[in-house]
Amino acid sequence: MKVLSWAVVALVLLWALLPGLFAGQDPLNGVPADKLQPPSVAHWFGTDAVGRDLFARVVHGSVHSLSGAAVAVGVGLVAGTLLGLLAGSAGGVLDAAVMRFADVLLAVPGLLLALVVIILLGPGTVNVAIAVGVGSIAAFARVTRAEVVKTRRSDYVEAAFGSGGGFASVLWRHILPNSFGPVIALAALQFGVAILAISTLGFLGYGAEPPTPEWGLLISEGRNYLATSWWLTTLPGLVVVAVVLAAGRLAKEIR
Amino acid sequence: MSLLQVRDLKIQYGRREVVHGISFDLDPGEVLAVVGESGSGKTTTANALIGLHPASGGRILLDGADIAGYGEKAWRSVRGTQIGLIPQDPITSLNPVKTIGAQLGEVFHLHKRKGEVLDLLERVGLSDPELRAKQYPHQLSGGMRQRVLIAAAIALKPRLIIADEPTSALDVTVQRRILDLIDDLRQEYGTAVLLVTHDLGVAAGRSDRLVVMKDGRIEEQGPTPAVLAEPRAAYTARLLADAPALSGRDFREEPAAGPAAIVVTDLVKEFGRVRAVDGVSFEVRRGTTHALVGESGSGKTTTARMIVRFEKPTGGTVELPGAGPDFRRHVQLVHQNPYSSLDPRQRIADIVEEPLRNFRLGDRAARRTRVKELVERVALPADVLTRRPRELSGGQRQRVAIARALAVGPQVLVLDEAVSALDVSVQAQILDLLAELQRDLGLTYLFITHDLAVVRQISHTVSVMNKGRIVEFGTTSRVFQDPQDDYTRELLAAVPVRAA
Repeated sequence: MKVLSWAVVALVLLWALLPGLFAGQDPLNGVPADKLQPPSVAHWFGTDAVGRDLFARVVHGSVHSLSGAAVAVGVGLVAGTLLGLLAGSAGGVLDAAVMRFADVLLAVPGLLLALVVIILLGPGTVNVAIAVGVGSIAAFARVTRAEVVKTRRSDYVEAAFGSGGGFASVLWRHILPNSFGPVIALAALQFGVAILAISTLGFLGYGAEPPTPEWGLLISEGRNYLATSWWLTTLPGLVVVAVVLAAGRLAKEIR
Repeated sequence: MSLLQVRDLKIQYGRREVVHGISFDLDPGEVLAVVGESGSGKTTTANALIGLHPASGGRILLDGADIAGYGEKAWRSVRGTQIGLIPQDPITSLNPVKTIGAQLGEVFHLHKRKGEVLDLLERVGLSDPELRAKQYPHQLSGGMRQRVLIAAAIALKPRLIIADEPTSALDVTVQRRILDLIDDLRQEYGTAVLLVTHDLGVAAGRSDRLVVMKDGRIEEQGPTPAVLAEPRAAYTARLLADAPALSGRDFREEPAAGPAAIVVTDLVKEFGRVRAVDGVSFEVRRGTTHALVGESGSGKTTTARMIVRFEKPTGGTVELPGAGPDFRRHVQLVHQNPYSSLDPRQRIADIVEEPLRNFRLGDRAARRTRVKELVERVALPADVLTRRPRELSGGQRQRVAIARALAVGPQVLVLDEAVSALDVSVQAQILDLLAELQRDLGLTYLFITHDLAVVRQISHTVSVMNKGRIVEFGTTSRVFQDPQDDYTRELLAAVPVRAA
């Protein structure tokens, strides 16, 4: 399973970096004569209503979904870790205030929160990614704070203060590096979750504009042909499922 | 005929063999002590004897029946009824959400036998059994919990009890009472006892025969007095020489009067309504070692933490004549546990260098040179510099912690149980190192410990603490030879002593 997970993630990353290597056909301009063909040797994932090769669209779309997920995780990781570090190391009123704010964020369903942010920022690929990232800040803040509180009480942190270390240097040299492991694992897990969330928002029409081949949008476009052309929704859907599961599995590995 | 015969027992963890074919016998009513340092395989052997870890070879004969090959179901008929276990740690071995009575009742219930929980609690010397049966583990002290675990072990009157370090987590006075209890029960029921311990004093005072283990092999076995008097294996001889004893070496005499390095006056610390330290005063001369001795909860660690300014005193003062504005350049603390006091992610060179960086002493190259000197000073090989703490043994880690403490050239070292987590031979090496550093650098030590044998070896003067107060203060020789306080006398009498 571990090898398979790595293989899936590696393959998708290569798709994003070198799409031309994996799919020779044009993802944007189709051949109308070949429309709605089922999967075959010529078209692995079949073709859509305007005759575009679906596999090429999935491969070329990976860059949109992955970069979106990376931005989302980046936003959550940076903001969440900083908040958690602040709360965990400062303690007292500041800790209580930051964590109650995180509790409020956690109480609102993630998708709803993302929609609120999108409405504030306006639709678009980057904005969707930021919106999804904002939704994960609370989770990152919580994990970081828990780790920081645990690390702070350890003997080696006390020893570092005892050897004349100031607050900032101890925080930077000991507390942050020793609290980071579980946070990285959460980041891997959130990467999968973010792909799913971005696809969901793409499906709802808030993300990339057609004809950009973003994964959520692909699934959404195939919806109209669900009764006659199952491959249009199912195959991109399976790709999303595979990547999300692989990321989750790797997160477990890191932890 | 022997009750238990172990023949060529081999045990593996994964593919690695840790016990390499050991054999010994145990007669009914006999106490056999298995001694050895950590990693010698003594606890693994004890676990195999009660089926908690499978044997990979050899035989375990209980009354002639080979129980080594038993399946889980067959083991269940042996555990409790034939062989009882007293586990090592009384703090974690009881279920925190069940009452004592319910946990003991379970023993009878599982084996479908009748028995009285209250009788059992009374038998192991717990006062007010009816109340105890209704209490939860957290409401009991460590010694009381160990009594409950002993009650569970003897509930079904097994013919063999395996006691795995039954008193290592307990204070000496409590330890003595628990060992007396095990002795009484053995005489009453004729139970054989396999006592696993790292403490030669305990083994010497309580066992009929001795098995000395090292690296998964038996180095030596025989009647206890004979082995102690004339050890045949070189390893046994070294173990005996390294064990700090209450007799033997000369006391360290207090040097001629000199200036004071630590002056503590009427120190008080309250946690909420609890007075942990209650008016403590003492003085330590420069270049000497003062030991603060006491059992858990006596306030000795809190006192030490106030001296190094990790706690604020509620009242009273601590003066350190000679301390400049940089307090932490003058006083350093060495923690009890070298496994937790070093940052697992740093390399040894960075750990030792850290205090130098904090005080901005010298440039990079000068600091590197100083780190090399320090590591050499504590007798570690230079190649440890690039390694990380997990690659080092406990003794090596404690040397690193001492090197870090010495880095900025402090005058006073506070050592909080600094050798308690180490094996005896490693402990002896660290104590020798500390004595050497004191001689060469003129350091003043405040040594916090519960171990009187260590105190006798290293300190010039002693304060005995009990319930937040100092009950006795004096030179080590005076306190050990002519104790004035009842508590000091009790403490000294409770130390398991090896017949010389």
